[in-house]
Amino acid sequence: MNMIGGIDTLDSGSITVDGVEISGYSKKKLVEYRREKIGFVFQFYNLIPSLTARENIETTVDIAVNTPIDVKELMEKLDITPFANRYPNQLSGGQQQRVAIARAIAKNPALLLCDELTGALDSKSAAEVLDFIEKVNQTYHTTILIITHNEAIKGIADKVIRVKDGKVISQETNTHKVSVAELEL
Amino acid sequence: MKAINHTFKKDLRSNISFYAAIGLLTMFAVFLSAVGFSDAAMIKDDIHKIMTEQHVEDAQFLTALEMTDEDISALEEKYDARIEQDAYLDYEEGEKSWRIFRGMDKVNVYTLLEGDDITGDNEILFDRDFADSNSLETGSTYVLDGHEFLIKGIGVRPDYLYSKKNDSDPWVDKENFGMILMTASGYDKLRESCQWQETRYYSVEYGDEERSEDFRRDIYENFHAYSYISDQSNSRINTPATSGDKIFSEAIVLIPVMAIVILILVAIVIGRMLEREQKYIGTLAALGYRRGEIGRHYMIYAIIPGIIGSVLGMALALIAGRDLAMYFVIDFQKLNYNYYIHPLIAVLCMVVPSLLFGLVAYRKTMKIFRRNVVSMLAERDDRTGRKHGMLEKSSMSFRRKFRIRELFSHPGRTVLILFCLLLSAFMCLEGFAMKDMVNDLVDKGAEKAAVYEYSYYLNHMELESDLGGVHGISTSYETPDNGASIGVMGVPEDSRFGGLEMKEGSFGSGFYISNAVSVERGLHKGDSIEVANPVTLEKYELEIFGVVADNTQQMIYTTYDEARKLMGLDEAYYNVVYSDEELPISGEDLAYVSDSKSMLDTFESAMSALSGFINGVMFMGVLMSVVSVYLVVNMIVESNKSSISMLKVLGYRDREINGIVLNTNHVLVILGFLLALPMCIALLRGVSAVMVSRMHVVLEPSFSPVSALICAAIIIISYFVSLFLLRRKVSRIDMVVSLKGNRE
Repeated sequence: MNMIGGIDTLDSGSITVDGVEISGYSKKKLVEYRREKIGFVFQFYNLIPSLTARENIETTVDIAVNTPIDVKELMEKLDITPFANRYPNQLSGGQQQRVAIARAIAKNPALLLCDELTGALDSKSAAEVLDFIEKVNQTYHTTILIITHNEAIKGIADKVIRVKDGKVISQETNTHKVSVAELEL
Repeated sequence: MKAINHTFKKDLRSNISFYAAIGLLTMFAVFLSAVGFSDAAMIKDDIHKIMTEQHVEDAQFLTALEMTDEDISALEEKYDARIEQDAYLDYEEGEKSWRIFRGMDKVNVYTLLEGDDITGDNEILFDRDFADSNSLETGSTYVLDGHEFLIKGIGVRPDYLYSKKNDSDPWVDKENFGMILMTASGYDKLRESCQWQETRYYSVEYGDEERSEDFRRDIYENFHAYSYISDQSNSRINTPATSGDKIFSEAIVLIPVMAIVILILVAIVIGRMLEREQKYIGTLAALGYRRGEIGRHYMIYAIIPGIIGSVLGMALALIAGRDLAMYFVIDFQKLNYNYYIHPLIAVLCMVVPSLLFGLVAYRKTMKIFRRNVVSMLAERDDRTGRKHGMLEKSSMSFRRKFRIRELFSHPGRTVLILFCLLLSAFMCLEGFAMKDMVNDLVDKGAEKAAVYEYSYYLNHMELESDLGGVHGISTSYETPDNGASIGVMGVPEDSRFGGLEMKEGSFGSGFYISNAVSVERGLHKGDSIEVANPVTLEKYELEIFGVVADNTQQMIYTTYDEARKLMGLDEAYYNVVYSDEELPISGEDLAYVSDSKSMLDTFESAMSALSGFINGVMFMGVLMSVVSVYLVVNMIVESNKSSISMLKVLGYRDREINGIVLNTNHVLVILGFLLALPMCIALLRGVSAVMVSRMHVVLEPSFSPVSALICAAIIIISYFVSLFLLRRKVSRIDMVVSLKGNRE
């Protein structure tokens, strides 16, 4: 995921995103690539501790290349407004992850990369976050790539790719897509 | 413990800039402390030694009746004193002048500094300053007015360590005034074969200083003494004799303050470094290591830069300390100083920094243990949220809020950087301001001291012949309270002196003190000053009618008639001739001539020596600014490493990240500078007061706006140089940092 997102480089092979080969990009070009196209959500949220929830979301709006999503509207839609002025260490894990997702999508990226986004959460918070991701997908039509060890999550995906020891072992389209409420987390 | 101690190498590598900066600051503090006290002690001891061993005079006097060898022996026995007739010849050629001294046996005995001693009649020793300035070499021949001499070496008289040609000269002229030492027989032969002007006087060294007054009365009554100059009134002796004490008193105030500031700065930085180590501390605690063991481990961690800095500082002090000392005694003849660092100072310099850093590290480690192990492992300080809290509801941009919170959420760090910037700006401003003060003294002082283009000082009281120009009287008195010399100048009425610039009152009949006297003694119009005739010891109470705007001389101005009355002269005697044209006064009539151009040159050359010191202060200010800003902003970068890394992941360019993280302290630069201005002005007043008591001249506090602007530019540039250096650090922070470490 780090290589797709342009924060790590390849030793061999190539990566094509949206029809463009990015593996040969220079450091400078990779910055522009991340800035323009990629949104990240990490397992441990990675919010900036000295900024409030709202300000953390503003960090991506501030450098958005595409027309950004209105922060106020985004926070309302994603139920962040009640804790918008709180700092990360005053939020629960689920709330922090919601802010991290809002931050990632606020700049309206072409691709949202989620790395074990429920890995640090209990099942109730995980369900909330996945519900939230689904809402993002439906509302903003963002392409979302979720990397997870949790087999159950594949139920909400359109396409499932299995990777083992660094190699793709299967690729399939999910014909039995379910809602988050139906997942057994 | 062995296992965890293996991390030192890795720590050194990964924190090399921290270690370098801490080591550098420690080195600086140790160097300053070791050198300051050692130099003061060296100067004091070596000058005292040469003055004692070579029997520097306690006074010199002239008598109307010549003293025979028997008279001298009788006086020596009666007053437990050493008395000897001193003699020198003066020769001038162009701008240069030479003073050839007769070798003395009992008082003012010369010391051989270099080469071989003189034994033959044509053998000479030169003073070191003149020899160096004129590239004279031992073993070569030197010709003076057709007389050929062999230079045998370098020597110095204890009464000419501060080798001003005339005691009334403001400063020394090393290049143009040379001193030559000869054997008594060589001197006598030279005197017979040349027409050079000779000066003779008696020098005395008292065995018992308390009997000096009786001695003075004795020579006045029995030998008609008409001139007596004590060592207190003789700046050639008094200035070097007291220099060691003055340097020591300045060192004892300034150096500990600077060293403590530097050591506190370093201690805070070490504390911040350990804050970053909390995960490792937590891991060790989880593995079962005891607090004491971990505390001791980090003590060693902090002691390393202390030891490195101390060793380097001490080495530098040993290598450069002696040369640095020469700046303190730049006006004096260069002696063969015995430089050494006092063992107590050496031990303190080697032990205190390491001990302090070790204790800080131990205390900080113990403080981190107040958090539970889980918090340490998560690198979380539960108080963080409280500390950040401000401007949550403000519509200000997050960048600005980030910067403001960085300032206010770490008040200790902010105060520290403000203090460092304040100190840097202060030192820089001080350097510039002192330069302005000195320039002001040079420009205006020389102008005010020279009312006429030429002042011819005669070596006797003239009555009969008119040498041209306008006539005045100049003489020296003593102030009984401290035995210091004060000039009395009787200036001709209806001359240009009538238009003397006044600070208080207007010039007319009566006595007027120079501003240098007014400031040093706190005297003003309406007060009175007591002076004593140095020969008769008769005291006079003079009422002060005003203050003349003369900052360069310890002088009482009065009219020619009043001066004559004070001196008891019935007839129109004079010993100074003022003129705007050059007059044909020379030879045996003339003691010395002072013209406005040479006075300006002397002022300038003396002040150029001070400039070296001033530039040093300014350099230290800039260095302090660069290093302290580097250290503190480095701390900011370190503590925001994961945020910087995250901003990179989000697609922020390095330039934008620098703008958010590095530019936090811009406002402190301005604040530091503005606070430094009033501090600087206050200190300038203090410096002015010190200069009055030390050099007997008044440096008027003066600070030009141009200097303030240049100084601001220097501080801003040095600040941005530090930020520029830190940009590399920001650009090197990997994006993986935030992915690995952030657990908020």
